[in-house]
Amino acid sequence: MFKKEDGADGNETIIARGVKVEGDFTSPGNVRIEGVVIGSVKAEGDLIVTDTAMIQADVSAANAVVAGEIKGDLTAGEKLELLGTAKIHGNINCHILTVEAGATIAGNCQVAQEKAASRERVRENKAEVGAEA
Amino acid sequence: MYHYIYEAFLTDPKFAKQLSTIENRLTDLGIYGSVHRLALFKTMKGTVQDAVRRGAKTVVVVGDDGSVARAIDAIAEFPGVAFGIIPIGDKNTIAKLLGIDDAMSACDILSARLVEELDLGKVNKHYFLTSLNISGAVKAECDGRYTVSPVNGGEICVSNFSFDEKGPGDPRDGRLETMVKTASRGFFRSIFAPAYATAGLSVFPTTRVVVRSPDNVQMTAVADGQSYQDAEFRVEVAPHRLTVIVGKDRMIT
Repeated sequence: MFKKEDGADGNETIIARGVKVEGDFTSPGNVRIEGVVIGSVKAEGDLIVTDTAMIQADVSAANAVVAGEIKGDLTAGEKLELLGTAKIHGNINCHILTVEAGATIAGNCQVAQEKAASRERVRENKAEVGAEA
Repeated sequence: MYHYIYEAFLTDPKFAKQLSTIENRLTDLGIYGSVHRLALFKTMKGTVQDAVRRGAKTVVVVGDDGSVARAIDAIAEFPGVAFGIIPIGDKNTIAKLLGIDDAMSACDILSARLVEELDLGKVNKHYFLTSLNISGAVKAECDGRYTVSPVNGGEICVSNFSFDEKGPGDPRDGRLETMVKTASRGFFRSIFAPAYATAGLSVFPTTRVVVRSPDNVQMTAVADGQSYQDAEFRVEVAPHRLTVIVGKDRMIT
C-alpha cells in the first residue's frame, strides 16, 4: 500500500513508539502510528497502525492497515486491512475489508461496496472505449 | 553593489594570503565591492543594517558557520537583499549544503549568481536555516491543534533544511518538520547505546510549533549552532525569506 515505509517522506507523518500525541491530528499525506494517540486522527493519505500503537480516537484515512489497538470509530475511504493483532473497539466503515485470523472487532461493521463497484464499472467502460478506438 | 562582511577572526595573519587571493579573484571577476570588517564592538546585525542602508543589493559573508548563521539572522529582515557566502575557517557545513565547497569556487559561484529563495525558520525573534534542537522540552504544540510529547524522555527538533539526505527538510516547501527523538529503552540498549540512541524518530510536518518548559524553567535551544535560552520557544516558518546565491551542487532536491 505504501511506496515508502521507512524513513520520512516529505509529506509523511510518523508517530514512533514512545511518543504520545493528544488533540485533533490531521495530515495531508500518509501516516504511520507506532505510539499513543488520544483525540482524533484524520489522514488524507494512507494509514498504518502497528502492533505497538494504542489509539483512543476516531480514525479516518483513505486506506488503512491496522495491527494495533483502536478505541474509537474507524473509517477508511477505500480499503481497510485488519491484521491478526488488531483490536478495534468501535464501529468500522469502509468499502473493502480484509480481516486476518485473530483480529477482534467490538462494534458494528459496515462494508459498502457501491463506491468501489462504480469505480470498477468506470474502469471497465474506459477499457471498452479504448479497445473500440 | 557587493558588500563583503569579513568575520573578526580573519584579522589573524594566517588568513592574509588566502584573503588576498580571494580579493584578486573577485577583482578579476568584476564583483569586488565594499568591505566591512567585524570587530569587538562591530556586530554582524549592525554591519548588515549599515550595508543595506548604504544601498547594498548583495551582502556576502566571509567566514564560517557561525558567521553565516548570524548573517542569516540579520539579513532575513531585508528580504530583497541577496545573500552570498565565501567559506573560510574550520566548519562550513551550511556553505556545503548550498553547494559552496571552498573559498575559490565561492567566488565563481558569486559571479554566476544562481539564486534560490529559501524558507527560514523563526524561533522567537531569531531566524535559522537548518534546524533547531531544544533540550529539556517535554511537550510541543503543533499548529495549535495537537500536542506531541516523548513518553520516557527525548529531544525535540524542528527542521527546515536537513543535513541528512534521508531525513525530511526541504527549505522550499513552506513548512517545518517537527521531529521527536525518543530515548532508547531496554537493559542492553541502556548499557551499550549512547545516551540518546534513538529508538524511534517521529516526524510531524507543521508550520507553527510552541515548546514550553514544564515549570517555567529556562530551556536551551540551538539553531544553526547559535544558542538561545528561554522558558518558551515559538517557532514558525518564514516562507521564501532568504534570497541566497547557491552552487550547482546544492543539496536541495
